[in-house]
Amino acid sequence: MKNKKNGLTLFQSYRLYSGGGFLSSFLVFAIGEILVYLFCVSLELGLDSCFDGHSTADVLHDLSSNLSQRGNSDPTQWIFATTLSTSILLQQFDRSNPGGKFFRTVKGGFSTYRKYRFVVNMIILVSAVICATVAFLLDYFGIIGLKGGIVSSIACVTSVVYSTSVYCIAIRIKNKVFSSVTSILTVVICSGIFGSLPLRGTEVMIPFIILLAIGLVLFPISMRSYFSYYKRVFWD
Amino acid sequence: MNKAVDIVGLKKEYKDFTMDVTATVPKGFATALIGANGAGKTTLIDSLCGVNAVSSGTAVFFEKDSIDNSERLERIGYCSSGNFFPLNWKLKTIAECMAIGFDGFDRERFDTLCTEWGLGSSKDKKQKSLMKMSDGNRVRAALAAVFARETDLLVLDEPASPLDPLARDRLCDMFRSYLLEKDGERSILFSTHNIADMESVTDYAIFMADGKVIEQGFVEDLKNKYVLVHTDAGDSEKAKPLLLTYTSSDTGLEGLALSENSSVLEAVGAILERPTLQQLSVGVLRKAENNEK
Repeated sequence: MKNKKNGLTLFQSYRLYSGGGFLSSFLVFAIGEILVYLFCVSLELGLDSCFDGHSTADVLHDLSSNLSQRGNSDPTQWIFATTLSTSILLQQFDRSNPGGKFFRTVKGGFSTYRKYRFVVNMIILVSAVICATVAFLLDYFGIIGLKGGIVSSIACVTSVVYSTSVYCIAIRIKNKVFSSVTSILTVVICSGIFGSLPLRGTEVMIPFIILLAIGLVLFPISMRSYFSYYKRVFWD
Repeated sequence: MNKAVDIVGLKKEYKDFTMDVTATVPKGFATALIGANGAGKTTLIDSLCGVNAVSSGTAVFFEKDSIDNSERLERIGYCSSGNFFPLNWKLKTIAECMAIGFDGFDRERFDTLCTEWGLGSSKDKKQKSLMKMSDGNRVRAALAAVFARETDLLVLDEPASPLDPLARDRLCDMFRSYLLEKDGERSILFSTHNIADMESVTDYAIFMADGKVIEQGFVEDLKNKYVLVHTDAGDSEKAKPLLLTYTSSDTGLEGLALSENSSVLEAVGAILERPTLQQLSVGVLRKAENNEK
């Protein structure tokens, strides 16, 4: 239903900017992250076996038998890959970029852009939650072991939340090279911190839940700050 | 004169450039915005269409003192130079997104225009993305999208630049059709470097230099106001003081002067000619350049 004042719904805004449907983007992203998780786990276990000098058949055998054992999959690289993949969706629409001027003249103007970014953030967060849930369930049912269990899953979502928030602040860096480097470093640092903590032998959930809660409070604050800065510096 | 846009003291400031424009875009006519590179044409066009925020000044659209932003966006058809749409878009995506972004978008008309331009249709099964199209075809797709909207004012930034001569001629036809469709209620403002090709469709001209308007008026009035002067080498010194600008060679000189000095110029042996818009533009812009120095 169209809001007469602003003109476009959240999903229309997303479709306008992305050129594609929300559902297809969301499914691609969510399934993609799950596949990334499976790939990271398989790669790690497969490489370990390869480095031991086993034959291909032995590698495959080791892979299938080790997958289900908890403690064999390091969450750090999976969390890094998931966090990094969120940056794909966080593209800018500067005036000088293709489409930059077009988007400033459509119905709703900056309001439409805000709606689009809101949907993007929801895709990022929800697909991270889904991926983390799948990883936890695979571990819970003994299919693919995950070191740290549910704590690693919470760490993944926390990493995504914090790195997206910091990314919103990184655009304030005027030098585009430094801004891009800072964004990548943010991904590395967040995934490094939150990915490695479950490996320290503790599976106590509460600190992670607190960190996640703080992150979820900081997230809308960072987005508000982002929109204010982006409109003033990049949009107008 | 009815005004499509009345611009008063519209200012946009950058570090090393300031645009400060007072001008009129008459209603029912095609207005060409002419100026050298860096004169401020794109800045003016972007400021009028909400792409840039302005520092101060006003632009009154359709003689309405206050117009809702959404109404303004809906009634103005804007197309920039360069890559107007994201390069991964296809005609289908353009059609779908234009229908979302604007109420008065006619997809059938868009398909008709795309087919006429040789781009295919947004309903074709196989479509190329804009990235795989030439610059000219990208502009054609963007123009087709803008012309397929129901608007009262078209604001186009160098629409003719990447087009071949035949396409430019077709664009001129589209301008005429657009203006005639609503019997004087529609207007066009476009910037151009291809003055010769666009002259046939230009009714009003605004000349800009260094962020300011240096001359404006109906083309016919401007052609009456100025005169193109030719002299041979012997008479050139007598004619020079009356010329606004000129170029000289061994055989004589050619320049622009005010028509009010015609009789004096003829008396010193000059040959006078009614300038084309191209010649007028060169003269006016050269004068502005000389004044800056």
